Amino acid sequence: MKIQFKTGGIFVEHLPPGTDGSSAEIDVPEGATPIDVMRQLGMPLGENYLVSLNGEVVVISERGTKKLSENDHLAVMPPLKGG
Amino acid sequence: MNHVIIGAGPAGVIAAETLRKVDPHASVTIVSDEPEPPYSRMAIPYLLTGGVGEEGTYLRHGADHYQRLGIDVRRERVTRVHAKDARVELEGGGHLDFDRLLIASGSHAVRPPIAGMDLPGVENCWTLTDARRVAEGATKGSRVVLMGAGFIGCIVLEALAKRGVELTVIEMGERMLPRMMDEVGGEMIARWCEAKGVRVMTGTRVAAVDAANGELALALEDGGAVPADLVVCATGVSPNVDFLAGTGIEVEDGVLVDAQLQSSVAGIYAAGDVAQGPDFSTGERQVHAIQPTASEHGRVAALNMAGRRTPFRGSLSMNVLNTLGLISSSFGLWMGAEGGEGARAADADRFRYLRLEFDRDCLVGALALGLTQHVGVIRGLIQTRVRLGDWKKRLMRDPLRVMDAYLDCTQKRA
Repeated sequence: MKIQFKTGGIFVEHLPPGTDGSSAEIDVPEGATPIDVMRQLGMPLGENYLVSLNGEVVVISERGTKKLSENDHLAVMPPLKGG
Repeated sequence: MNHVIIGAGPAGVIAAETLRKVDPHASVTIVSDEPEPPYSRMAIPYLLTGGVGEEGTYLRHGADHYQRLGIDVRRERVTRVHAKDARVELEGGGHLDFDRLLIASGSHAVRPPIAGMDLPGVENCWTLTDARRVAEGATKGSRVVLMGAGFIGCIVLEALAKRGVELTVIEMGERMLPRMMDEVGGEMIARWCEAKGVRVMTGTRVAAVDAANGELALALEDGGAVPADLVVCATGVSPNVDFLAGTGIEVEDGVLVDAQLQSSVAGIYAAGDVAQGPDFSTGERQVHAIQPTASEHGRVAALNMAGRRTPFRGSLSMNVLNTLGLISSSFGLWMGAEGGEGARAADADRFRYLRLEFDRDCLVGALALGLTQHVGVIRGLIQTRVRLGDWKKRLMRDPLRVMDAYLDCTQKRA
């Protein structure tokens, strides 16, 4: 199934080759979880990234169990600079 | 009116004070899970160098400041927000009802997912609790490795170096300050630090941290190893939003807010590091985890919460940094605007560098190194979108004349 995936900063390099910008439509297996998608894209599995599904926060404990549906919008955002 | 504010950083405190000013009869409550009175993380470097004591980091002085203003500061952790019921749930079992809620919960330090980052002797430098641990470990002559040479890393770097430690900084980016400086500026700052006795390793990834015989060792991906008594991690921050799960409050890089700093749920606002609000340069929504944005967010969010419809004009991404005496600053679209033009002037021997970026005849971004007197002028030119006219051509030839351009253009306008 296809989902819309968005990321930013240093994680953009994990998007499929040829992606322009910070989001891409990607193909994932039925029933995939956010962690499955991060694995599929070869992203580091840090706990502190901001993960959201259709705009809603996905807490750490649900990232390996919450199943995605067709056309879902998943976002995994890397740490930010601050000051 | 019942106002509840989650978070006691600059955004939360300024919001509370603003609410009190414009709505004298409202109930104003700040909820914070940190044990200290509201303080500024930006003051932590001064604490580490001994410039101030812990009280010196407090945002407001006088033990009864909040009480006098009728602002209730509660030490509690918010575990959940019930948007429909207009209620926040507290870890201690209680709850608070609100008419307007401000999420100013800030951000937390993030460690990279590397083995050994949980070992004793590996510390963040973000909260006062962290600062106490760093101060304990960073004794004169101790070997300290700083992971991360971003903005926060470089502030911590200055404090650590002043404590007389043997300091190594490791940055995985190709240069220091990869998100605030270009190659020229990053290289100059690295050379400056090295000249001051700091070992700088850029383009270097840590594979693991190990502990043996009472000392730490950082194993590098290229096979090298760096021994350490203390590892300080400054590899970035992430907004505190977990308690918003299931609320319908829309997030992306932070809590998405509109021009009134209101979230996707009416009556719930966000400010500071946790808020993804309008950016001055692009008009898009971005998180600017910087103190000037936190303060302005806090003020504007409060006015809107009190019913005084006030648009937020957008925050300018800017950083001013002192790295062992070398002042660097970055503003707005310093990496250049699409279809725009830029000019650079560099004097590597004297550690001076100025880069200006234009969109048509407006200045939209800049980098400056070793040029403190230009900071105010550059910010002014960008924020007021002054049309430079013929001055743009002159600045393209000689960026250092930016002060003359400012005076000439603003006086003409007046």
